[in-house]
Amino acid sequence: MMDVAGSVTIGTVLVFVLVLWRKASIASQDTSLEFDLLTGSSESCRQEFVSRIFSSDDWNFIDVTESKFLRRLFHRERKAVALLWVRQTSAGIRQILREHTLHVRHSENLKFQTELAIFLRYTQLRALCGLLFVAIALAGPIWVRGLALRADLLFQRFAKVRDSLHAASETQQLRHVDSI
Amino acid sequence: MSASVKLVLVQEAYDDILRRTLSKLSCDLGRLIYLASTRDYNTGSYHHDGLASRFSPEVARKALEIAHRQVFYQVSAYSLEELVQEIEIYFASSREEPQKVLATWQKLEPFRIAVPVEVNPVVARLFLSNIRLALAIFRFRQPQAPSDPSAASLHQ
Repeated sequence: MMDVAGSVTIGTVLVFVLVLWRKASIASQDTSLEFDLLTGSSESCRQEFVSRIFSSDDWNFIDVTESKFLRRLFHRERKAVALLWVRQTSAGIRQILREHTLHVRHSENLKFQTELAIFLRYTQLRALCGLLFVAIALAGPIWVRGLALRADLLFQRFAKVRDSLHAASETQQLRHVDSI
Repeated sequence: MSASVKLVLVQEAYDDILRRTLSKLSCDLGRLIYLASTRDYNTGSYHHDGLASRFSPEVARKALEIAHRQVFYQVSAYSLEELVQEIEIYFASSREEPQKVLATWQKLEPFRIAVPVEVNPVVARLFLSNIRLALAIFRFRQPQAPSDPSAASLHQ
C-alpha cells in the first residue's frame, strides 16, 4: 500500500516539475529572439540592474493601482526579463568554465584542489540557475530576489577567480620564458 | 593623432553636446530619443553636423555613441514611478496631443530604436519592458473616455 502511495506521490511531483518546466520554457520563448538579436555584447549585467529586475518597489507601485490588467502585464513582462537574466547568467557560467578548461589544458602546474573547487562552484551555480528558473516561473521574480542576488554575487566571484588564475598563470609563463 | 589626444577631443565633444543640446532638453527620456535620432538606421553610426564641424566626424561619432550609452543606462535604471514621470514630461514637451503620442507609442513602439547596439541584452529587454509598463500606467491614469472599451479593460 505504501509502495503505491509512494509511487503516486513521486509521479505527481514529477508531473508537477514537468508542468513547471514547460511553463518556464513558454515564458522564456518570447525572449529568445531578442536574446539572439542582442547578443554580441561583452558587457555583463551590472548589479544595479539585477537588483532592479528583482525589486519589489515596482510591484508595489503597480499594486496600488488595483488594476488586474496592469498586475498581469507586470508579472508577464518582469518574468520574461528575469528568465532572460537567468539564461544569460547560465550561459556566462558555461562560457567561463569552457575558457578555463581551454586555458588549463596547456598549463604545466595543474592543482587538483583548485580545479575541484572551481568545478564545485560551477556545479553550485548551475544548480542555482536551474532552481531560479523554476522558482521564477512558479512564483515570479520578486519572491526570489535574495536567491537571485546571491547567484549574481557568486557569478561575479566565479568570474574573478577565473581572471586571477589566468593572470597568475600568465605571469608564471612569462617567468619561465625569461629563465630560458 | 595619438590615442590620448583623441580621447581628450572626444571628452571635449561630449561636454559640448551635453552643454549645448542635451541640457536644454526637459528629461532624460527626451535626451535618449534625441541621441538615438542622431544614429543612421542603416549603418548604426552617429552623425551631428554642428559637432562634426567643431571637432571631426569621427570624434563627434564617438562622443554621441558614449552619450547615447550613458543616457540609455541611466533611463534603464529608473524605477517605474520615475519612468512614468519621464513619459509625462516628454509627452507634455511634445507639440502633439499626449493621447495621440501615447497611442502611437503603444502601437508602433518607436522607443525600440532607442536601444544602443552594444549593450547588455538583459538591460535592453528591461528597458523595453519598463517603457511598455510605464505607458500602460500613463494610460491608466488618463481620464477614461466613455466610448473607449480598451481603456475600460485597464481599470478592471
